[in-house]
Formats: sequence, structure tokens, C-alpha cells
Amino acid sequence: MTIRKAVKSDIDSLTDMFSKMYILNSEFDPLLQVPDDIKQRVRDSVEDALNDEKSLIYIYEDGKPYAAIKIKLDEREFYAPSKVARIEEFYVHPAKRREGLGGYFLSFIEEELKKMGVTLIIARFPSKNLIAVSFYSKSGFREIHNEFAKSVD
Amino acid sequence: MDPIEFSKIYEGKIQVFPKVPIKSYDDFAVIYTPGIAKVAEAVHENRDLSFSLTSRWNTIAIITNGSRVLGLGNIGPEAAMPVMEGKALLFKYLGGVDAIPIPIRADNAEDFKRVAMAIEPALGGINLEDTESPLCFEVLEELRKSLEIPVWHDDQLGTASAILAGLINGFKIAGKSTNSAKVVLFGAGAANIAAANLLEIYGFNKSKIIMIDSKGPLYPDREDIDKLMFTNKWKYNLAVSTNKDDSRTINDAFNGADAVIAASTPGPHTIKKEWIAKMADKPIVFALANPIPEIMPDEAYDNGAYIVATGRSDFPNQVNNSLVFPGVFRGVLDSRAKYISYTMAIAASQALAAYAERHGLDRQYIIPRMDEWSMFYEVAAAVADRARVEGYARNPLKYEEYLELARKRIIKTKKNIEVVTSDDN
Repeated sequence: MTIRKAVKSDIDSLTDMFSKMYILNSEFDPLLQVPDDIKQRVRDSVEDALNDEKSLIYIYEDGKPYAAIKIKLDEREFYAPSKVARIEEFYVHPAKRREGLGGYFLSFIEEELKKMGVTLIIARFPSKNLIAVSFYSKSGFREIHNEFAKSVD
Repeated sequence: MDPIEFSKIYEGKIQVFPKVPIKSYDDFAVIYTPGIAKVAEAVHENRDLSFSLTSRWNTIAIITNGSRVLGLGNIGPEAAMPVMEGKALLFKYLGGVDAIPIPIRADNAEDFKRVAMAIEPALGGINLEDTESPLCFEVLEELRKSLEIPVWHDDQLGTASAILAGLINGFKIAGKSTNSAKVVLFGAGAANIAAANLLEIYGFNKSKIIMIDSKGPLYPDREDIDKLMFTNKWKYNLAVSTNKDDSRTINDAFNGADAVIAASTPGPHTIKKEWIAKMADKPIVFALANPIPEIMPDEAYDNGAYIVATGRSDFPNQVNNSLVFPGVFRGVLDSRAKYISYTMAIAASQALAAYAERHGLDRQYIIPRMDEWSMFYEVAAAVADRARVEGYARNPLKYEEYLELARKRIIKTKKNIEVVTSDDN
């Protein structure tokens, strides 16, 4: 069992895990539908992130990758603290859920970010994903923004 | 006879009938006011007396919203009534239980809970019936938590207990061991999901169980598993805890399997003969769909099946919840149990299995037949005894006493029914 930074050879499993996250998100709202080429898009974004110093990807591995998180380091222009880490994708394999792995992984990330001088973590997920709401609440997160959407189709 | 003509003649199948003789005008003063006020006061002081001073001890409700009635689908509560009346008749005839059919308008667990909690004071138990999955799991879970009377969902636990009973003996005859067995559960509805959990508690190795639904085997990597976490957590839980070999096709799942339990869609070719041929030595095949089993017994035998069971009474080895629920409710009512645990359901399975064993097991007889009436007494006594052991019995007696109580009560009921329904009346 180990948490490590992702490398190029992880692209397949990262694509698989993060695509599953987006496909799950699409269940929560029609405005979160995913395009047919979601896997290719996720793959491209993972490849980009591996070459981007503002992006961090970590993998939890126990024989094979079982969880992954992708984080983007960002600056907030009008708020303090300005340096933030945005969790863009976070996926725990079903076989490893309910064992506290998500929380363990997240606290590892918190420590890594602290070392980098980042003191605020922001996560974004569908409002109706009650399991995510409960997970982040239990991990000490709280709501600071609402994102409302209206289709004008 | 045409069932509609039959129903027209009898105008339903059950009625409420007094059991107290009325011999004189004065009796009314005891049966009803003013005398009955004393009884009301006594119950007011000690609510538990409602079990001994009224008929509560023997009364259950059959609750359904009519969302999954027989193979008819969502036909609604009114249309579910004839089926619930039939079930009430079976409850009475086989188990001596006064079961009141209560089809309700409800489409969520909250509605069920409100109704059940509201009528709990009149009841010694609740049988949930013919309610769609996964709503039925949520309702059962909620009611078991909230009520102080036993709640049972026959399509889950009744069928699962009968399956386990058949498996216990099937494994015995085939000389297989339960804890190393590979078991395929074909169909992932109420019965098989309950069966998976019951088998695990009994001692089957869950990681060697494989559940198959309409999309194939369940495994943690399957595309729709994340969604399942939100839409059917019971099925999800099994998807992530079973099938440790990671079988991804039905062929792989059947390969080397010791038993297949099919509770899915009617056959005769829902299960392919090639799949049976891939199973382990002396394979056990339960094809429980009605009216047509997933694979016909002949075809299963021709492809190597060692023991075959179906849900039908015209074939040997009928695995059916009717073997279970009359005795289970007789047992929980006689012990005044507060709860029905999974281990009490297992006690019912073991009692059934032991009954069949005593009467001479063979490949055509792994489970008692429904007309072996004394089996119901033994199931009742086993369940009641287990309730006592687990601390749920409000009327703790010895096994032999429960057995005698069940026997007496069921025999008396049958005699009463004969009198009331005889042509002279």
C-alpha cells in the first residue's frame, strides 16, 4: 500500500478512474451529461496534467491502482488566502470503498499541500451526490459557493 | 374452476369471525361495554397485555403497495388485494395466523414506515409482500429498525430461507462443503440478494459467490457499479464483496460452479444448457422462476446436473417460500418475538432441512413438500426457540413447548376452517 505521484504509465488507469467519475456525475443532473468521447478527453487532460507543474496527480496503489486524485494549483484574485488547490478529479475504486481510504488519501494530500505552502483546498462535485457531500463534510470541508445552472435551450 | 367465477361465488377469501361464544344477552356486557373497559384499563397500565388480553398475539398485517405482484408487475394496491387475500388464507390454513391484507397507496419507504408505525399497536407482526426492488430493501430495513414487532419480507427472506434449506441438503447429498463452494446467483432481485446475505451468514464464502443480473456478472469494475451505489446499495454491496475471481462473463461464472440458484425470468432457456455443462462435478441447479423454470429439469439433468429444484409443485424439490412463512410467523407469534433476525431465518432453513433428512433424503427429495404439515410446527418451534436464545422472545418457553403450541394452534385452526367452510354452512 502506497501513495505516490502518477507517472506516464498510469495514464490508462487514471483515464479509467476519472472517466468513471464523470460518468457517475452525469447521473445526478441532465446538465452534467458527458460527451461520447469522454474517455479520450479525460486521457488528454491527464496527459496535459502530467506535463503541467500546476497540476498534481497522486495514486493509491495496493498491487494495482485503487484510487487517484488530480489537483490543480490555482490563485484566487479577490480572496485570501489566494493560493488554493482545486480537487478536479477524485476516484476510489468500489472494491476499496468504505475502508476509510478516501479520508486517508485526503489527509495525505493535505500534508503535501501544506509543505508547498497551500492552505486552502477546494472540491467541486454535483450537489446531489450525497455521498460526496457527506464525505467532504466529514473531512472538514464546508460549502462556500453555490453553483446554480439554468438551461436556456 | 374459473378463478373469477370462483371469486364471485365466495366474494373474497377471508372474513373476520368471532371466537367467543355468545350464549346470552348478558355476555355482551363482558365482550363489550361496560365490562370491556376493565380490559382497556389493564392494557392502558401495561401495554404488553395487549398481546395476551386481545387477539394481537396472533394478528399480522400483509402490507404491499402492489408494485411487483406475482409476475404482473406494478398493478397497484387494489389489484394486489386478491393476491394478498390468498396469502392471508395460506397464513391461516398453514400457520394458524390471522393475517389482514392491507394493500396501501405508498411509493416510498417513508410512506410505508408511517403506515406501519401507525398500525403497529394492533399487530404481532408484519409481512411485507410483492413490493418492487430496491424499494423493498429500504422498507424492510426501515421497518426492522423502527418497529418492536417482527417484520418479514417474504419475497426476500422467505424465498432465501427455502433456498438455503434446499442447499443444505443438496450439498449434503452431493458431498460438497459449503465454505469452499462456488455458488452462482442468477438474478439479482429481492430473493437472490437476500439469499446471498443469508448464505454468507450461514457459512458460505461470499467471495466465491457470483451474482448475475441482466447485464452479466456483478464485479467491482463493471461500468454501472458507481451508479448502483446510489440506486441500489444492497446490490452494490454485493457487487463489491462477491466474485473475487473477477468473472466477467456468464461462462466464466458457471465454470466450476458447485451450485446455481436462478431466481430470474421465466425460461425454458433463460439458462443455457452449455452453462450447466461447465459446472463442477455433481452440480446443483435451482431454477426457481414461475411458471416456467429458467431451464427445464430434464435439460439440466441431460447436461450433467446432479440435483435440480424448481419453484413448481409438479416437479420434485419445490423450493418455495410457502414452506417457510407459515412456520416463521407461527414461531415469532408464539414466542412474541420483537424481531426476526437473519439467524432466525437460518433456523427455519435448518428445521426444514432436518425434517427432510429425517424423512429420507435423496436427489428427488431435498426439501419437504408443502403437504407435510408437521414440518410447519417444527419450523415454528425452531424459529421461536432461536428468538428466545437471541433475546427477542417476550414469551420464552422451551423448544418442546413451542412445538406443542404450534401443533395445537395449527390443528385447531384447520378444524375451525373445516367447520366454517363446510357445505352445511
